[in-house]
Amino acid sequence: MKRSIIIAVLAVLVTATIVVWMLNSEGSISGKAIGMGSIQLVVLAFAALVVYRRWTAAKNKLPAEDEMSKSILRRGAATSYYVSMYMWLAFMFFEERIDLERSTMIGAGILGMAIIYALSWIYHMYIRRSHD
Amino acid sequence: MTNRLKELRARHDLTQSDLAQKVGVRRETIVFLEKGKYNPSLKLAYDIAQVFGMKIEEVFVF
Repeated sequence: MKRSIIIAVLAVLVTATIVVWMLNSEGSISGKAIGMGSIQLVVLAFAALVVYRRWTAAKNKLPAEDEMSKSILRRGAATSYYVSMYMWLAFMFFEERIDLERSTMIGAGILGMAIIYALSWIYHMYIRRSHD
Repeated sequence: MTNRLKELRARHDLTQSDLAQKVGVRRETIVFLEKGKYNPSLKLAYDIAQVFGMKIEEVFVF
């Protein structure tokens, strides 16, 4: 339950940051910024899903995490690590071809890693469905 | 590996949530076990067998 609260607080902080950033941009939001914003929204949706799952488990007096969910987390982490390496390799390859600042590239990479982790968790949880 | 979880659950009049609560796992884990999509740890297999008052090999068939 404590972890759910931490995740919820973090999600609220990220949402607040996005709102403040959008308000300060005064209607001049570029396509790139919209892309980054949508990635952040995907991360927030994932956080909301995690909080919801933990909350319903707590309501039904079930553990938030058990051996299967931990196994899925481990598999998700392993898959996302593997895929993330290829993402960074692609970034290195396209670095000179894309006109982006290094800090923006790193930020995009970190967000990309979060997205890849969320996707690999969803893959192992709902698609692969075999966790020996 | 197959198992008789569904049959034993029905015989003991237990819902998936009841069994999950008794062995300390999420309901999803019981769902996955019943569908044969997840192989439990030795401890979980033992706990489940204890709930039904049986041996592990009587619940889980290798």
